[in-house]
Amino acid sequence: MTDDLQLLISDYLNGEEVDALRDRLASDPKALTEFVLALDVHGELRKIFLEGKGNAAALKEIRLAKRWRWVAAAAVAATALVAWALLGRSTSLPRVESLAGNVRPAVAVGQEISDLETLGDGRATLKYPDGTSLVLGPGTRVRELAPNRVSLTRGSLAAEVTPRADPLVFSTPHGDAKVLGTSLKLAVEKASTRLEVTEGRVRLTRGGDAVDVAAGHFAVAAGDVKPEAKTLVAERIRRLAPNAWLALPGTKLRPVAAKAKGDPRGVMESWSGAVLDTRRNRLVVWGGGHTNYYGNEVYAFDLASLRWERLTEPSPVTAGSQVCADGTPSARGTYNGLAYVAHADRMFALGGDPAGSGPTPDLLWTFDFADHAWENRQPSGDRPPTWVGALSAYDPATRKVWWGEGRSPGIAGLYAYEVDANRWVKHTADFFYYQTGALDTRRGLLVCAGDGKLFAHDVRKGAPIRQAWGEAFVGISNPGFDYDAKKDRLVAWAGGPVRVLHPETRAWTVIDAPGAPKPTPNGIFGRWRYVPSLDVFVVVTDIDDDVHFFKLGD
Amino acid sequence: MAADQREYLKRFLSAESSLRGYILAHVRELDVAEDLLQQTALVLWQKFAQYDPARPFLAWALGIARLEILNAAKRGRPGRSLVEGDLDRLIVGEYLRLESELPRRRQLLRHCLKHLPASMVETVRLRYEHGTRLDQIASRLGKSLAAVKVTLHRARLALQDCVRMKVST
Repeated sequence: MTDDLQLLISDYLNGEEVDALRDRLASDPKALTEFVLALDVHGELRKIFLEGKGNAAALKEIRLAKRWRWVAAAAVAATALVAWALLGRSTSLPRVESLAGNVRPAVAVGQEISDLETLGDGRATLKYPDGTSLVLGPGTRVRELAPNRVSLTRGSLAAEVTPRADPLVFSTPHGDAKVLGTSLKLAVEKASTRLEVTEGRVRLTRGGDAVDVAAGHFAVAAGDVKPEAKTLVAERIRRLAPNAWLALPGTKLRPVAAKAKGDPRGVMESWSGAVLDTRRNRLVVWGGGHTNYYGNEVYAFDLASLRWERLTEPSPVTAGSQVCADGTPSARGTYNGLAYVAHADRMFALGGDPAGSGPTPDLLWTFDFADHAWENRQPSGDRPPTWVGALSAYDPATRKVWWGEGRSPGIAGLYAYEVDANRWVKHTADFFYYQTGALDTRRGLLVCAGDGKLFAHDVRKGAPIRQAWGEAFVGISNPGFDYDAKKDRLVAWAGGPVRVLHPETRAWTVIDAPGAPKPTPNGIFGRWRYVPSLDVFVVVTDIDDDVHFFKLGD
Repeated sequence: MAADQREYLKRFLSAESSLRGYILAHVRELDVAEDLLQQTALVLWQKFAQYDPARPFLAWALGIARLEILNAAKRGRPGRSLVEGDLDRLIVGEYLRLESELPRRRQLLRHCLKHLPASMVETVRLRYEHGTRLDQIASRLGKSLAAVKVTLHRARLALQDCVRMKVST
């Protein structure tokens, strides 16, 4: 098949103009065959993904899942097909199937109804002739029940909707849920309606916005916010019990790992860290280096879909150079030399331990998340010499990345990289080595913990001066350490119990909860991060272990 | 389940993928196409008693699908299509010609999908799982529209090439 025909077909499938393709298909039998084969792939992809909908993590193990609405989906659903096909458009109102407690108006079991309200702890189950059932919870009101419409004005209901040709529309004060055959829960609050889908698919609309909510997902219609489908697993994380761990099965990085020289375990195990991309809500892991792993690819764990993605492919290695043949940075143990620069939507990367016997990586790189491109920034100013064991932290208020350098006093210093000016400024000759830095955004403090030390610098008021806060983590280097802005706590983890630092009293609290993962032998670095959107900490310790979450109590 | 119901289901399931592909030749919006497929399934069942078993089921089903597409067009649903008149007949003919070959290709596609490069997976998933428009995918992934088009183009080509290679071995 020629390239231009491929492009024409692709354009057509993407919804573009078609005249040239029409002429080609009408005159070229081979082109017609290719077009039909492409159509078939197009249609089959749709079928495969609809089958797997609600199970986003399963692409690598595509399996037949429950289909959302369709009848003809599986032979075992044959009776559903017949019911769906024969009944088609429902023509009758629901009847009361069971009652518990008080309802208004007074109704009897078996009675056809169009309005009902459960009072106090009252409950009611209604059933349509096609088998669709509605279970009304306490304090719930449904009005103007029609064959294809349910108006829910208050409370909550669970529904099992028999597949139908015309959708059943659940109307609430905040939006409509269009149901094509599924199981769902709807709850009306004062300012919002929450939809949970346990089987099938539901379209939730609010104003001109609509979202398809698949099995295992939920969405909320409220205010001016466009409704968005989120996984119930993510909700489970959000609602994790205080001071508890959660391991998320099926979230090992290994299945998406690249094949490059060495063992991809080095991506984490080889003294490497990560950043939290707050714009896309994902943990971005970059590491390797030394003699452990030579692949320089970048990985991301999406905290919405809860799956790993390899953002880039390994580059060809140039022996002895910190730059690969394709102009990207060579793999390295990234230590704490990574930071997410939120206002520029880029990952800052400096220093570390390079793959092979290359020189110390002293070039400052940024990784642009929009186009997955690396840039050698070549900043001006007083550049840090860089070495292993340094730390970095981004301050959104000043748009600077703070860099703590150490190992030997001769090259020690606290530096600031002014992102917008692309310039380094050296502030002090302080000494940093094997600490992890966290930015207390409320106070403007760069707090550093690890290797038996705990200290801070005020990085917003005048010259930053080292404040000794005591000793911590004696014997533990490169811990996970991040700031929970919601609870105003600095939280550390390096295996075993979670340690919580009060930034005012500077007192530690130790939370020894079961379920913590096995720590990475050489340090956790930035792979322990506070996730504001979920109000939890996320940590990943090994490409062969699941992603873990920890919810800090109030 | 009655014998005719079983028979219908068997025949429909064997034709479902070709029907979906044929509808997608006319209708580019994935959700609209899926609705049309459902509507076609319903009509096929309602008219199944009229079906002559001596005729190929797929040919009969494609004819019904075509009528449903035309009906939807009258209601203003499908949007632009390149498939009219002779070209429509050519595509139907091609589907019938490839009828015995396509099921194996579809099986192979599932296998090939497992090996799709990870960098393409999210774009493909958003497009096919959610029916997300290309501009919305671009916005969500922070990519340009052109980059999304290229990714989808390359992903489909990679899958077709993979299937083609496996068919020939």
